[in-house]
Amino acid sequence: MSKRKIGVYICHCGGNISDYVDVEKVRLAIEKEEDVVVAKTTMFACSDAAQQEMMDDIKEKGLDAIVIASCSPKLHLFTFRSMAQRAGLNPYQYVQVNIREQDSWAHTDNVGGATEKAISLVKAGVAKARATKPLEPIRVETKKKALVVGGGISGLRAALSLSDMGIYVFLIEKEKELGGWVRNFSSMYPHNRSGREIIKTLEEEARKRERITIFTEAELIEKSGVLGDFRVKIRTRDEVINLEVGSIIITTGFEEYRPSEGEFGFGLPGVITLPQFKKMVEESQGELRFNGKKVNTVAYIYCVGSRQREGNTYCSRYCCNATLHTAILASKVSPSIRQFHLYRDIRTYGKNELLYEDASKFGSVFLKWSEDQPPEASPNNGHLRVKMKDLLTEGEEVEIDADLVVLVTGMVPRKNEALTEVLKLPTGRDGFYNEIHPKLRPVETVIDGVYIAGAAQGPKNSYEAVASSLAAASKVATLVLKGFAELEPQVATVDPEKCEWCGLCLEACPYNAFEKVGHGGKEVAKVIEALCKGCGGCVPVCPVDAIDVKGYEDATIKSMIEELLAGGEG
Amino acid sequence: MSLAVNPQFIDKIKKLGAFDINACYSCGNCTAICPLSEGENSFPRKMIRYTLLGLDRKILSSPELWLCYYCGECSDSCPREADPGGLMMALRRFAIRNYSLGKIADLFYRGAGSVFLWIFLTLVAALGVYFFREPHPVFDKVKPLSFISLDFLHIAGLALGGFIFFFALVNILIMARSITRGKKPSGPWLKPLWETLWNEVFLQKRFGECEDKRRRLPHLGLFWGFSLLFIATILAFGQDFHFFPLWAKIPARILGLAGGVFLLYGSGYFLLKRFSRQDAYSKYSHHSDWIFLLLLLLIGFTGLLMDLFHLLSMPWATYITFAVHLILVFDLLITAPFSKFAHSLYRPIALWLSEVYKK
Repeated sequence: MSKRKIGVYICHCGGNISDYVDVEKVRLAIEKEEDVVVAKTTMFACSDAAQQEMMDDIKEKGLDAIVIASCSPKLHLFTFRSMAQRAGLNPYQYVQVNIREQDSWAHTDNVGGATEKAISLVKAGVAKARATKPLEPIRVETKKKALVVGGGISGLRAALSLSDMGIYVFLIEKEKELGGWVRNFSSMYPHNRSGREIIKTLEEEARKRERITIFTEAELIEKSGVLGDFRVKIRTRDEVINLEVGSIIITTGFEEYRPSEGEFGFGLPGVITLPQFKKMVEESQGELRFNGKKVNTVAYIYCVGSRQREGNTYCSRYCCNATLHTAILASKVSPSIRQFHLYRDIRTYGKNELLYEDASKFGSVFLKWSEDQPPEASPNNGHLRVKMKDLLTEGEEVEIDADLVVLVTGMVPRKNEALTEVLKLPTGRDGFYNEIHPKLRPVETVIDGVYIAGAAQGPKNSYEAVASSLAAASKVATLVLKGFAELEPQVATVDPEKCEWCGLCLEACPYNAFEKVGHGGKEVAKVIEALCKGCGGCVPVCPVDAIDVKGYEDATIKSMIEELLAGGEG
Repeated sequence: MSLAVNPQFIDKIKKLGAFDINACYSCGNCTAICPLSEGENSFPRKMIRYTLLGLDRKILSSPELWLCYYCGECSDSCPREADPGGLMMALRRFAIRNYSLGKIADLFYRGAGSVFLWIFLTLVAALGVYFFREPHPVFDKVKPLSFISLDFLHIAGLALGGFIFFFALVNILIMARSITRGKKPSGPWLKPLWETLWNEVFLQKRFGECEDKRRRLPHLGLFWGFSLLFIATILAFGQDFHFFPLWAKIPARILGLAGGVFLLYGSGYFLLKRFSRQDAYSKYSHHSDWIFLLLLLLIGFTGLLMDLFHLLSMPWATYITFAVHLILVFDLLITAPFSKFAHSLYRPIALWLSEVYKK
């Protein structure tokens, strides 16, 4: 290999590094390394002045690779890559060595050892820098079209938002009618508006839009292609339609938890679920009646199907609010009604605290049970007797004779195996679709270009579902409106000379990023670069060592290991 | 044994003055701030829970009702303005009602009906005085006993005493049974009795622990005012039957005079407070509070006025005032086992029993 010109910068990080690593000693050790033409220490490598100095070095000394020994690449990889780019150096010829989290902070008790380790790490970094080649991001054209799967409130809202931004939308819904759950709701919290009306407004608007095409009784049955350029197959009742879209939003919603027979007395006459009770309240003419009998006392049992020790361990979020909202409605219908709320923790977060306030004004009484001693309901003289230990009353065991026991049932993930298989979407331990990060990347999935929103990704109430669907719509817009997308070039490559198609790489790949192509009269594997994440999962399974990940080639890693093994004093 | 929740109970208590107790969200601020709530005796929060769930038997068996002096700290610091102090007061009204034989005290805790009952009792007393007055009272000098005969006073007094004694005893037994149900005496009874009398009744030391200490003195004034008058009456009564020597008349007069002044001070103070409605405890006054205080004030007032007219040698004025005084005393005493007055018995006895009957 021709001679390289590598610049090495060792950062003090104020004292975070230099208090435990003798940075000057590291510099002296590295200075002597082959190909190293610049070796400097710096107080803060990320500071503007330090970056300017490095840029000057790159330009003046014609550096063709640089190594910065500082903090975790999680923190500053992109800072220094863009610095390299500004100086005219290919950003992939920059190597970051972590001597803070992985060295100085870990070995505060051993200054000598930490310094030796730093020397080894930086030498390995120099070895890697020596092997770097300029890489260009993978560019993908994006189509200004999106597919929204699921026509509930989230899907409808996302479709409208996308069309507002000039994106063509295909909205597909499995059922005959749009609107999902919300379609059947009357008064909803916190605004008391009717779900039916909301859906009606959204649907009318969506049907008016030229840029929205709606398919009902339709399912997504196939997906191929890469972000910005997906090819999908939709099966409706009478045909299969092929579509090309730039991005996909999944808003398939949730299913309600069905208690098993006997769970909190479920199955007894008078033990009903919250949705059933809400319907009863909404449809009641005058006072609440159940089986012809006036309802005087209602006992709500909370957290049914949620926060279970085994099974659904999550909180379903919507239920505390929905129950209190329903209780208020019930009080308005039957002012003399007595309502007892048997809860574990009340989570009327945000402004929904007002629901709690109102419900207690209407006379709702709250009792708290512990997970170890759940309430029990049993029939008693035409009533339902609910027994429980009330933690708010010194753990006294009390019994309530109720006319109705309402089980506050949570949300469970919709059974969508076929769709999950088509999209290869990961689900979390709770069974809902998984986002990359609940706070930082809340609607993105590991499949580039496929976003999730609404209750498909976890229990949400309607306004949270809509908020997430708008977030997903804006993600889609940033992806497709630009016309193209740039992807990380550090992906796998197959050496077609070595490859004898066996398919093991495709089996190992979580992203389906391999395709079979012909090469010189034989079949070989080819990487679909836009799909590849560069995880390297295929590399060790290849029986003929035909696969390398760019930037992490076998030879590169080997040279790094050799430097590490050589030891700090080298 | 699980306790049956009574969803209708809260309505009853609300009528007795706990209007906003539904607002409670069990934070426990009230109990934390209460200077009198400690250890096992945790209130008012526990009482709020009992109320919300309608556990009336739990309420009636709680000596905590009588530990509270309603300083109002809890109501002032309640973040939900649920007025826990007002609830404690309402629960005491409920307890007085329920401890009474056949719950007849209920008659005094209703709305307009109760007021009519008071008017009726007053009329009965007035008619009694009218019919049993002496036909020819003397007018050349003031001699009240020539207007209302001593015999009548004795007979009516003894009858009234017997009535009160019977009902007070029965009511106290009902209360004692409620409080000691399911508990066993765990120690000596005499020492706690004496301690209760000294600390809780004579000195009302617990009152001193309240944040607002201004109310202790007038409350002691009420207690001692009434007690001194009671002792004076006993002395005078005993003298009529020659149980006591003649000179006992002098301490009886002094005690009576002092008692009257104390009573005026105490009842006047609390009436003014209840009119001004500035403190938590005086914001809401049930008619049972007004009637009790008014009776005490008027009895003290007419008593002293009578002495004044006597001194000024005004026979008619003295006799009329005397008659009014007697009617008011009758009103106060005949209702004592059923009205707010009963707390003066329930409180010390409940505290004493809770000392003797520790679980």
